Amino acid sequence: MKVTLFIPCLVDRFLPDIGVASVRLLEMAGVKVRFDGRQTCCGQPAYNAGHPDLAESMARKVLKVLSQPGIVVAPSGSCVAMVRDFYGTMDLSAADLKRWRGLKDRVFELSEFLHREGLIAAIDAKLQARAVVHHSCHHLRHSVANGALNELLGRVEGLEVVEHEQAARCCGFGGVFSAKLPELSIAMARDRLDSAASVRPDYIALADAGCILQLRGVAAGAGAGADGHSPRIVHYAQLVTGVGLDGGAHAS
Amino acid sequence: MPPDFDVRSLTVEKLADEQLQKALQGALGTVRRKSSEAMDRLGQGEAMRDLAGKIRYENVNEMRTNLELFAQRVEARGTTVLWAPSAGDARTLLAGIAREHGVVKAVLSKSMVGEEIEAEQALRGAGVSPIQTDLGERVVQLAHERPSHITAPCLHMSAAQVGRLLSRTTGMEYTDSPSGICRYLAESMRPVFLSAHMGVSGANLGVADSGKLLMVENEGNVRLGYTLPKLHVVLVGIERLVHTFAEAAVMLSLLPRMATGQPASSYVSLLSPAPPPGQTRYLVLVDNGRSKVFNAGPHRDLLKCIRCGACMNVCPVYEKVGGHAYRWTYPGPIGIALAPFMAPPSVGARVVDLCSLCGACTEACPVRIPLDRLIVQARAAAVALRPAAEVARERKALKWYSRAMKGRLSYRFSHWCHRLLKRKFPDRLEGWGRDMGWAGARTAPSPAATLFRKLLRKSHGRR
Repeated sequence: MKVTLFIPCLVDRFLPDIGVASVRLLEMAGVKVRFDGRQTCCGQPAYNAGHPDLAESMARKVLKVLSQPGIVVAPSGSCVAMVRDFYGTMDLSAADLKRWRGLKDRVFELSEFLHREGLIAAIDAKLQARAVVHHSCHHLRHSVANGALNELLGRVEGLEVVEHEQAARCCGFGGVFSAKLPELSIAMARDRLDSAASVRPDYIALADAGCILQLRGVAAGAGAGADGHSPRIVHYAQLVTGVGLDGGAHAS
Repeated sequence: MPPDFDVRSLTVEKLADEQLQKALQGALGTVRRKSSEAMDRLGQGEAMRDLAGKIRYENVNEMRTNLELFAQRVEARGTTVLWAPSAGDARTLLAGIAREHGVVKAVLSKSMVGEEIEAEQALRGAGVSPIQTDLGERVVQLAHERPSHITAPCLHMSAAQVGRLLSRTTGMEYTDSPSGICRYLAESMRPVFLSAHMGVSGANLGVADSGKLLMVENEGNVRLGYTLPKLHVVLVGIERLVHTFAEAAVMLSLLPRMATGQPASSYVSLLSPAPPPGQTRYLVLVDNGRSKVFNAGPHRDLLKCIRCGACMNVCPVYEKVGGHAYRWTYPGPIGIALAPFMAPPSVGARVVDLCSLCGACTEACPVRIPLDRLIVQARAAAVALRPAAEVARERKALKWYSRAMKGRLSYRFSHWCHRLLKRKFPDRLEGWGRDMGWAGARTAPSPAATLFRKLLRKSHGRR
């Protein structure tokens, strides 16, 4: 099986480890990847700021780059939600709308794809650690397979996944929201970090690069917790594959 | 309301208000837990939401037919029906009724339409003394504030604050015990009910085929308000109709569960369109922007709202800023989505920023309003309400962004520039970051040494 990889610009430019981990995770599941270097950004920043017309040219490009048949997989609930759900509300040409209709049912978030194809059971990994999942909103609310993440992390031997109270509450990123109302955005992140840290995990696992940059940025701005404990904030694919965890992880 | 407001400084102010933070966290945490437990006990939560959403959708689409039928049924049984295209019209009608009947004192039950049209002020203007009878509404009335939540008007206050307010304004002996405060207010309200000439209330739903009005409440003040005074005025939004009682019953099972986590409200009234002997009743049907929403494409979905407050109870932004930060009648996600159509333009222009688009509201909504999607579209609608220079700046920045991101070469070049700036001019970059709120308390991300696409080519070759 071969899929087309759709990599968020935030991953490409800031967190390439997530991309590498995604490729490795797919390969662990026996899936080959193809990547089209013409892809860039899905257009979410302009769209969410209330300027859909400025996002349309990006959407057109994505629709063109991803137009050839076959499954498209992205390690991001947010970009998938944009392509799958929000492109449909744009003022697109008939040809682009046709492309969108042909794309929206074959684009999946990474864990959603693995779950849907029944590939999670094939994954074996090891990591001696304790982790909490902090849900990324678009991953949680726009993906079809909600339980996929816990199922996937359940395949990692030695990984203890614990719950935290505010796991499903927004980290405060929200794209332009984080820049327009920074104090509010940071206050939201602090609440989530406190809630996650209270169960003393080694890792906080998320599903979207935006949330990761937000929580890392706020955690770094605040320094370590009072007792010097600060969990590492990573993408779930990193926990499974060990990519970018600096030792301690052994994907098999 | 101020002509314009700065949302950012308002959020800073609200975040610094420790008492507000405590009140919000406590009250919202409790109501979220209770309502999700109540929905679990009901079972079939998602199917119930689908059903309720479908019923409301159909009824909103048939709003005009419903209205005609409803008005006809109500008039036939002796209630006078009046139409108010705008809030001003509704105020004029209300004041006119009060004057005509020589009203001196009116008791008001909690009504969001009443808040929308500023019924209290309209009555005062007609020489009437308006007394709010809902506990939370009475508290905000005494504090000269506005409600901060659509089902819990004084959610922003602690019991101790309410106790202090009441001991100062009413002569209540100070207590911070909620039950003590409730008892005091309920008892002090009895003589007011007995001496009032006019009762003003809202309604949760109108049933078109029978002309009946459905009202839910927990305090009993609504019933007293529509039975004791000789004159009763009901304010209803033109969208709040269902065709049959069977449809209303579906809302009746979801509304209290979502609003307060109760399987049923303490009091449920199904008011016949025939007023009791000796009572005169008016029904004022208020548009006030609803037709505009009706005709605004996908935004029509907003008229499905049954005002349960679930969207604000789950909203992570509301939880940090409280209802007053929204600066108009409807706070929270529903308030943002409605604002460009129904709020003063200065509010509509700004309030759309108070959302991180997390979608918790859409998930919670019992009538399936796609709130997060409509908020993005409300943002687009709000662009026309914002100062042109500000919009031009924002669009210019986004255009630069699009240009940098779109082409293969410019994509790489902009990344290279970012790295160069980080290396050679970190202070300049830090300054820009600060302008965007990404510096200081939150560290801006560093551009990666190597783009993912290059790493992939190294490990896997060109593909």
